[in-house]
Amino acid sequence: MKSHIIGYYTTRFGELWENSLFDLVEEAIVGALKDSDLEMGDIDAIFFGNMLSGVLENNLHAGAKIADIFGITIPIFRIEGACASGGLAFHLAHEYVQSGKGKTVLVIGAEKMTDVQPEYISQGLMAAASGEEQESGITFAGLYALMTRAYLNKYGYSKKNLAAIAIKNHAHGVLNPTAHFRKTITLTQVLESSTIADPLGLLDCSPVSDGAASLIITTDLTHIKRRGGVHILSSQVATDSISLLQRDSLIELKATQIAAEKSFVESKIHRKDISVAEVHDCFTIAELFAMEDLGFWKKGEAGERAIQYETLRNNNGPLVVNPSGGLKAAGHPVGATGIKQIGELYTQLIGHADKRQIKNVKYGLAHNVGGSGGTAVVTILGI
Amino acid sequence: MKTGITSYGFYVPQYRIRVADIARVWGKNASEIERSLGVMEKAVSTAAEDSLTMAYESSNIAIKKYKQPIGALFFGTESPVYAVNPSSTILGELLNIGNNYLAYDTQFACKAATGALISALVLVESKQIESALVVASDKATSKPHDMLEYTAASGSVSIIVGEKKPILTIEAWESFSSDTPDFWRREGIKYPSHGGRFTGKPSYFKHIIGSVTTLLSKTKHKPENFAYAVFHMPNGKFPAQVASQLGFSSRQIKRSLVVSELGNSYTASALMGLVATLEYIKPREKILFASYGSGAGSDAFIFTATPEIEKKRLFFSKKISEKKYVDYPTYLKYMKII
Amino acid sequence: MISPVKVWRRQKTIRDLLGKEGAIVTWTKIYTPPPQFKHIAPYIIVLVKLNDGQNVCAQLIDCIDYSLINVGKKVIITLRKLRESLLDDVVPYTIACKFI
Repeated sequence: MKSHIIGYYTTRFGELWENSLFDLVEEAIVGALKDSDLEMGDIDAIFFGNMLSGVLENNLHAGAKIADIFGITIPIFRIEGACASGGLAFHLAHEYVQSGKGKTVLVIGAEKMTDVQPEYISQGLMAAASGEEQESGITFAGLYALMTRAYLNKYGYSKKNLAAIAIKNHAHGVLNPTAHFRKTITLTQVLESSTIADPLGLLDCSPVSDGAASLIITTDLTHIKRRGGVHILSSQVATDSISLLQRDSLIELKATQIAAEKSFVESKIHRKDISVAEVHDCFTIAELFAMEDLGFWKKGEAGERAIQYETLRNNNGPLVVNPSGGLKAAGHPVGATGIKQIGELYTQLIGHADKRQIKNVKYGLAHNVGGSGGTAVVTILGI
Repeated sequence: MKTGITSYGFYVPQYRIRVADIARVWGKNASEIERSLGVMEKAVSTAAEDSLTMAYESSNIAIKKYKQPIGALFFGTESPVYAVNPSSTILGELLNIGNNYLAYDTQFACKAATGALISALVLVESKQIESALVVASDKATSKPHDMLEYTAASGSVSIIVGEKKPILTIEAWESFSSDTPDFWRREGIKYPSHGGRFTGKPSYFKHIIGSVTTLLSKTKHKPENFAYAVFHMPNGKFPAQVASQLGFSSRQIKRSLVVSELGNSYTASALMGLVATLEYIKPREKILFASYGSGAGSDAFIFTATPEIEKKRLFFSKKISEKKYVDYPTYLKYMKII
Repeated sequence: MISPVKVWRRQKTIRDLLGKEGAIVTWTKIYTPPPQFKHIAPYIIVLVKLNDGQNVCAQLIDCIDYSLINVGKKVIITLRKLRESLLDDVVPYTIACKFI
């Protein structure tokens, strides 16, 4: 029987100086339980997605830490897959209830990044890349910049085609009360923003943010009857080489293509049925790749279609992408993003998205990527 | 078969800083300094370079065309990467010369490598080993504002000593040594110190004159027998003066005086003068070569060019003409002073 | 502290890459370096396809004229010290590329 998402909570994403990682974890878990009208005693297992707590804080064994906070003894799992940690945690939580090992589980994704200076965050994030890449002094922005240049050169696009993504996602972020950034940005601002890794500028890059998001998944008919909620129609994972050096192509993410294909097959949904999507725009280029690799747009088209703002809300397009503001405007607390994406779809599908509500949404797709494309998780939800 | 130099390589970083640009920072008269030192600019290696990376660059050239087994690798430097740990074996590993070789690092100020050259020569001549690689490499440091700042430079020269088809045969050598504290650097101290004018007559001149006069006397050679003479170049004045004192003409040393454009690369200095000379030398012509190391000592050699030089000479002047100037802050960044 | 054993193991791979030639596939210039690379920033990173078919990711050093950086430009692999180490660390050397 299909699992349902019956509750969701997200903290604000941003520079949350007052909150430690586990302050955020606690807030999100308490919030999700409250939203679903459940208690911790109703939860059979917890899945925690996080990337950097070991690298930046020397804090691991999160399961025991969460057990400590709530005074519980249920199974708790920490899952890591770089920026796809949240999506992977969701995937495993889903598998857990589907396999019948438990009926109701809680997934929490969280990240605390701002306690540490930016260059150490940059270094920590590079743990998601290969040793050879780390040794060269390249950063994540650099890895995506290598891909960006190859893509722009191949299809004759410029930085303007990238900027359109950032502009759109900021316009969406304005309407999202928990987004890190809630202001619009202009083309000039994006093009003139300081270079991080040529040709990517500051406003091509998602920010460093703190945050946590939590979902409750269940197969328990009592809860489903009470809450309604949203079906999980598919959740698929694929991997590819950690290193760009081993990829077949620099201008697409094979892992996304495979996970997407498997996800559409499993859910029996067609791409044209998806009217809302949350895709992984860690850098502007990543959303162009996502649209092509997920199969919404043809290879090479994304640059052109992006500057037409086809996926901007209220533009009469059939598909709105990143209504939450994406990673760019909503923020990217690494482990939390995958959960937030699914949570945003949930909120849209149950009609609770308030000022950013998209009309007539039935099916939504979430796309979460780890590293420079080493992991991809594609999830399809339906109401 | 005569023992000699069978292959060689050199590396000069492409960046330069003008003496005038340094002088201006300290409010000194640039043309006065250029004139008194006989140096216009010097070679600067980047922050990504050290004596080992430069040694790799020069030895890679030497070894690329030379396929004989290397039985010894000697690394002479004043700017070693480690106070304790051989750079010679790091280099040996990177050059993939196996494990059956004798390795050691030497220090004797600017003559660290030429002393090892003598050891290499003896090992090969006595047929104990087939060939030896001797490397000189320095990223010379100097205290900002000190006079040395105008001349302390970067560079590396590698020489393979062997018996198969040498390009230069080594006719004779002589070494002159004493305890003369003209220039030194203590363990753990970043910059060298020196005795000012004490580095002249009782030091540089005494030891080079000492080694060369003995060498000429025992081989019964006169200065006019030599097409070229090469002396260690702490600046552009000393080698010209010692050449004159020993009876060599300015024409004989002209080709070797690279210090005016490249500065003093310490252990690689005199050898770089030798490399510059090899670009022009004809078979059967002789070179009188004398290094100088503070502390102090001088190694003098008589080299004779063979017909092989025509096939194997390296083009030095064109290579060093490919350069880019940096300003003083960039120089400090490259020297890791800031 | 950098592990001396890791430096030692890595050295053999570095040694085997030295001197190899290839062509630039794509490149970027890093302006926000990780802490151990600050002293040489900003720097160019190239992705190179070597003649033997391998791909490498390395800094492009000694590039005087940026306009020469192009897809297809030939480079050779040499040795440099890029990653800053502590004063009492073993020094980790690595590969870098320069124009042929």
